[in-house]
Amino acid sequence: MLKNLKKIYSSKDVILRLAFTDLKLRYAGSYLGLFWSLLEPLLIILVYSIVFPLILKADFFEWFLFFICGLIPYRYLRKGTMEMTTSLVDYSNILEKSRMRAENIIYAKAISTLISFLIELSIVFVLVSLFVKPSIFILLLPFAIGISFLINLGFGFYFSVIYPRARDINYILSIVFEALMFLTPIVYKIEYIPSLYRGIYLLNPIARLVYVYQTIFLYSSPKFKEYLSITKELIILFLFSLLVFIIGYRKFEKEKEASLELI
Amino acid sequence: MSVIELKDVWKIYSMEREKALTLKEKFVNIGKKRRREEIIALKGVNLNIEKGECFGILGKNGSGKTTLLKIIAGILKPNKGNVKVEGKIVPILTLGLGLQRELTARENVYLYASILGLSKKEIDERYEKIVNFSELEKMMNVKLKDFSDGMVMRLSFSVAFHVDADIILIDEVLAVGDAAFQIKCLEKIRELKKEGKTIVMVSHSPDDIRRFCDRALILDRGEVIFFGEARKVCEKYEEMIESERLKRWNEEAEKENKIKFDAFFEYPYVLKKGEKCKITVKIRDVSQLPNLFFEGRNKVRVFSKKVENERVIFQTDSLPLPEGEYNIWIECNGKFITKKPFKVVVKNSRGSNENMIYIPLNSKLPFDGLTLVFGQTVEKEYEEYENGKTLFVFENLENLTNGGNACLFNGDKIIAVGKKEDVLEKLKEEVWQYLAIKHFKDILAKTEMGRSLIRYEGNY
Repeated sequence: MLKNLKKIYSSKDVILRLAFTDLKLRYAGSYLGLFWSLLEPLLIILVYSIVFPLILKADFFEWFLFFICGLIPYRYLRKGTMEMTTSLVDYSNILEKSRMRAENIIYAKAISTLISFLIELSIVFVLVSLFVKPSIFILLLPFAIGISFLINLGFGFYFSVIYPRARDINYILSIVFEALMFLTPIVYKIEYIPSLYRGIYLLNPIARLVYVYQTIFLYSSPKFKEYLSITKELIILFLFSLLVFIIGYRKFEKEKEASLELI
Repeated sequence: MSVIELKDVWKIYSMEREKALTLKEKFVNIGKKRRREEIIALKGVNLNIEKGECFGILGKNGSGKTTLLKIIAGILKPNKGNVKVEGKIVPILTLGLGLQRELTARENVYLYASILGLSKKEIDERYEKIVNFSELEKMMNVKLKDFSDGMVMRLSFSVAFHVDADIILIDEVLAVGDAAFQIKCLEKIRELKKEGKTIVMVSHSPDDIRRFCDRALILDRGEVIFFGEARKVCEKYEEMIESERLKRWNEEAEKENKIKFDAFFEYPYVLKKGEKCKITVKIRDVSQLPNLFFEGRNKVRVFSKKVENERVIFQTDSLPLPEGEYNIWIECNGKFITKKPFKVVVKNSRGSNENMIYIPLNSKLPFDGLTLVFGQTVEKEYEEYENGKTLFVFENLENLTNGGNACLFNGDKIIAVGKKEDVLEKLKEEVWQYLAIKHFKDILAKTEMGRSLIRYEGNY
């Protein structure tokens, strides 16, 4: 493991350069650049925020804030995983003809999507703090982000070596993520799930992750009980993310060479 | 000390062969294993490359050259065998790897260099040098999409050759840019060689290999079929190519005996040097005019073709044949139609030659061989010996009048670069200067050879 960290450190420059290129290309050629990438989720949020409060008979603002706090982290997970999945094929020209390690591409993608996420998240923070006074929980945000990042990397490593062999994985992933969105408390509050089924519902770690983000942003005056519960959630999630990362990385190490010959 | 060592290296690609299936068949075949075809790219290659050596790999397309290079670079792993490489290695398999059109030249320099394995600090140190070498100082903040292809090539070349590696692998990237920049790149490679870098070069042109490499090998269908000193290997390779071509053409000619030809020379078989060669071919039932091919030490290209009463008259077009023996083949509709070539011998007789520069030099002169490069062609000197003197003879100088750039080498050093006229002027100067010092002038004035020292003068 230490050896791997050393390798990452030694190739940090190329990773950062690739990430920078990726970010820059994402917004190149458009006048408003970054703005468009934010507009898309905002529009979705707006549409949902108008429709769902009507159905759920909830307060518009309250629902709107609740919704963006869940959707942005979820979108990050989806976008990051999907982009990393195809990344080896996207960068095949470089991988085929240079000695650069394939991991660097994954790390670069992870960093570029993380930066996009941080920008989106800061806008969420500004919007939320207009209506809700931020609590001490906000200090937990870096941990939540770190967990998201690790899960992303794990998924990315895992699926990126499958993709060259079976490109179907991309379609399957997008469907799964679309469906999974409704199994996480994004459009509805977790309290809507009957307590009888909540145990089963919370087996889905993504639901827990989204719940943690919502708690961090929206609890203005937390009580002792909530401190305990969020710490517990974070520990569970951290263990989960570590597991995902290790499984993903192992898979990547094992199948890297075979996949690279296929791209 | 060998820095690259390959022992019995095998590489097998498995290729997916996909038959055109109908949708129904596809459904039936789901779950069945797809057919895979194995292609052996390298068959037990053994190789030792010494430190500081320039090593060439020759071979036709698909002979496994690039695969071998990738294996040395460590991009591909061999299926069997051992690869040992010592030192930092940089493969330049394509120029401009990962360049992005939407980024500025400066950002691209950083991107490309970091992909090649440089750290940011190292790039910062080299940045000036890279930009200066590429001669694109004013363009560094322009997006790459506004660059011409040539400029992109220049930029990538500059980056690629400023990577400080112990071993550099080059895959057919030399034929880029204009003549002047090409020369600069060749100089750079020489410089790297002098610095003691190990260079492995892949090419299918033996000229490049001969120019730089100490040793070389020929790959054919994954096997090393010839290995040794570069000069010998190149000769062997040229021989191989030539014999293969002739064999193919002869086979074709045998197959189609329909075309009837009569050909004869109007001039004797033995020509004096500078004499024009005239060949007449009678034609019957031919849709296309025949062509002549000259086989010999010197390439002869320019011909005039005239058709008179069912006859085609070929004439060397104001260009005398250089000395030597020639085999002349007649070709029509892409096939050789003569089973045996005509033989022509051009004998040494100087005096009436136009469009040539004779530079009489004795063996003590500081010229290790002059090479004239202009446009796409490289006109090498060809040496003659007469009365103990070395003569440098440049043929085809008339072609130089078309304008453009040229470069004159003296051995490894560039004597002159620039417009063709200027270069030729410089060439004259060099020679005269030297002759003056050596008090050759008087001696030369006595001989006709001396007076016609630079005969092409009349053409300007």
